[in-house]
Amino acid sequence: MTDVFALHQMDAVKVRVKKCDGQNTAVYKKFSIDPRITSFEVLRKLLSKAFNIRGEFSISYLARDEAGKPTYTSLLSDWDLDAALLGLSPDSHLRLKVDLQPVEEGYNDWDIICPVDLPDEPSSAMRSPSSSHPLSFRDKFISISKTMDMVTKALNLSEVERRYAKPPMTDVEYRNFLDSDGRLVRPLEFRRSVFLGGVDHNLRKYVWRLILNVFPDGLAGQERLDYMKAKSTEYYRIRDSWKARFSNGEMTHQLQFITNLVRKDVLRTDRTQKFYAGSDENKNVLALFNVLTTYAMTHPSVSYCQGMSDLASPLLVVMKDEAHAYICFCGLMKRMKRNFRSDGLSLTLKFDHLKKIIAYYDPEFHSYLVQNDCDELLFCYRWLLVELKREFAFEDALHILEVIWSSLPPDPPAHELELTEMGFFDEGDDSGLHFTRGDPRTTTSSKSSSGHSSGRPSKRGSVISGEGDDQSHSSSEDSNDYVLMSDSLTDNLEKQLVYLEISTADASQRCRNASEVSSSSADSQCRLARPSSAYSMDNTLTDSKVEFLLPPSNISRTNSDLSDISSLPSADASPTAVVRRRWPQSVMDSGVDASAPSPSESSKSQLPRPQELGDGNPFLIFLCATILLQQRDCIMSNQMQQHFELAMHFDKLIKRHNLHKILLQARRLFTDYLKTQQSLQDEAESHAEDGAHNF
Amino acid sequence: MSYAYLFKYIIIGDTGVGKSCLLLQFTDKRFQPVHDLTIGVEFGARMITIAGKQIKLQIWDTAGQESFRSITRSYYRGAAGALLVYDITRRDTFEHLTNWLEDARQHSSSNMVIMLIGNKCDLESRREVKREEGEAFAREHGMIFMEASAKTAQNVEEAFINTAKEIYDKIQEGVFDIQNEANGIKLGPEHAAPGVGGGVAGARGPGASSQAGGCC
Repeated sequence: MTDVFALHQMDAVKVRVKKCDGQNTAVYKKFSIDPRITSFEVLRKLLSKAFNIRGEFSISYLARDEAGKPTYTSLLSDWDLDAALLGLSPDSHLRLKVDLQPVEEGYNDWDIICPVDLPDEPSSAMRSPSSSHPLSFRDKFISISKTMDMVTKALNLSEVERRYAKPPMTDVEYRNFLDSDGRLVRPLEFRRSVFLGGVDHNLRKYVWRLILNVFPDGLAGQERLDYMKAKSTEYYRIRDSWKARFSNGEMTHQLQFITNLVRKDVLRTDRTQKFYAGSDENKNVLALFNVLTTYAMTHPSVSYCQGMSDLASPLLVVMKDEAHAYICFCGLMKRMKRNFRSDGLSLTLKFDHLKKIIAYYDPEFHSYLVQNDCDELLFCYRWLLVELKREFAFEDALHILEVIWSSLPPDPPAHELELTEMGFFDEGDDSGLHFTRGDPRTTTSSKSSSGHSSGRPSKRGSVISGEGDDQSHSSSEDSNDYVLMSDSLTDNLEKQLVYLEISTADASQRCRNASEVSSSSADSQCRLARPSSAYSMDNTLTDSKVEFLLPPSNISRTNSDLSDISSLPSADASPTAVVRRRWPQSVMDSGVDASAPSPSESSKSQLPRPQELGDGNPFLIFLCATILLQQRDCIMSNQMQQHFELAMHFDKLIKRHNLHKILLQARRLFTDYLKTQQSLQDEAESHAEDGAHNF
Repeated sequence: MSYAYLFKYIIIGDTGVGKSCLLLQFTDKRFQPVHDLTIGVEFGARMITIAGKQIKLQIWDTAGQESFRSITRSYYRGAAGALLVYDITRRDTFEHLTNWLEDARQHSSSNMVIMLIGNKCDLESRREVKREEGEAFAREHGMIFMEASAKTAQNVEEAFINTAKEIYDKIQEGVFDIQNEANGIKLGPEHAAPGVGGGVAGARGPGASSQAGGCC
């Protein structure tokens, strides 16, 4: 505590900086900073201005080590800066050293490692060296770097920028997407625009509701306002029902469990943001608490899990309205609740796909990770769970979230967005499916989040498998009902089975709740089908739907439906051949020297299709892969040999990632991927036709 | 920097008991009252000295509310030491210790040294768990015990270092097979003999072989 005061008492601090770029002689500069207002970020900006640095650089400061010898220590954060300042003796200079990172200066190294310009405009200059020279990968990389450097600078980068980035959407542009009644027209182009450039902060409030699938299709401007008003009223009604119980002291186990967890977490979510800062009684913190508690209380199959506060917090910051934030949160969670299911299958799948993508695009790096036993990538758990929200500075996180959301095809609610999972209020307008099944006994044990008062739902998942016999019995009994609701059961039986187990547990949960909330059974039956249909949504997500992200020339093909090729064996040799032909990266794969394990294997293994990749969020996987691949040189040249070293490396990069650079490359790779998927599909279709002729 | 041994630690315990704060106090010697909750796992490292030997600690700080079981098992894998933390001002966090302990024993090597920490001992007025209870629980389950405060730094250094001492003693007595990295111990460049597994390239001297001791 005293340290902080010491910082506040400091006036100007004189700084002496030495810049080294590894080749020329060092350059020195002197200036002063006010430690009370100079953050690490400000210091970085000052330094890049002072030395006119455009690329990446690292900062270190002169300090005494344990033996009292002066050594340069990395300065990576505000904490380091504080340490550097506090270590100064009065009137001494803060001695800094700036090291340029030559590889990354001025151009994007990874563009060159993956010189795959777009399939429709092959770049012979990039292909020939890799296919004809018997050089090692490294040599090749350097030689390509040299020959391509100027070209890249002159053409490639600006071309890439032009194709894969645009300025954020402005008010004028937004209005161009609305007709005279304020109805959203060209929704796919609208998403594409957000995907390429994000949104001006002031517009976020409006654009986020649209890309989070809050509205049914075709609402005019006034109708959207009315809709939000009606939904807000509905929200407050739902919220006040548990609040009433809360203040009357009618604390159920469930309510107590949830409020305890949520309270603890909202006090630790984005509190460095002005919006949530200050005392624990900050009304925005309370609003976040209300949003999360209401959601958990009305969605017993999801309840509350850590990570959700990180998803809800930006919504509240942008909407500045509790009810609106809740409505958006429901829109977001419709897709993302899968991440928080106790079986962990969604995340397991995402990890698996991330590894596949890395193996596909950079087999050398992938085998490096495998050889060093770091391919578990456990540090990516947070990236995948909260979709990179934590990895970027807050403002950047808002940007990356909207880009991710807009990368997904629209999924508007048929009538209106559901704010509850079960019949929290008896609205009585649902009908249809039959409420079957349910051994209520399974409820309490398999969903400890709603039943146990444990501070940690330690038995989630394990109990489900522990009661295997019982569960699988009821699952198989029930499965027919679900087959009718979801046409995708053939896809992945095992996943489905576990899924059914969960659904069954949910069903029993509702059974129990039905006794609390009378006459809601029809309602809950209908909603019971929803998780299932949400699941099948992923599987019927068609290529034509993601095509909107491709450059306009490709949008013309809109009648394609990837589900057509789902019946093809995935190990079919011909699609692989297509990948090799249409994906220039494969040319480089074949040039990797023979000692590098399994490039052929990895290039053979086909990437998951867009509707499978990332379990409903393919672009996220590309973003994560890009972040990893952009560090691959650093990782390999520093010989980071343990998972832990990698993890520490990426922990240090938290909130310091270069958003623009990551987005640019991820967009580019993703677009290429979609194109390839399209060509695969073309191929499959023509094969199917050939097959038909043969018969 | 060279080191004789590398130990992997894992910090576990209920959400909000101060696991991340203990780690930060240990690695950075500061207390941060406002910080983001841990999702998944975070990491910290520090060098310490035991019996004149440099030992590098690799610390895995896990999330208290764990909803992804398959990944937890990965955290435990190869941990030589665990800090099991509860909050002396919250009885429930003490009551959940048995669950945590079961988990830890199930997923880790049987030799893993577990240190029980009653955190937030600066908040004496709000105490809900007596020190004697913590001591008794630790004794009963074969753990070392300390009350600590991440805020005042009381006993934080000691908790991490005493755990390392215990591991070091076990190595000396040949309880740990240090050639087996699954035990969470790795020989540093000072120790590793050429060709010995777990060593780091550029090993100098065969000092390790004498200590590589019996296998369990």
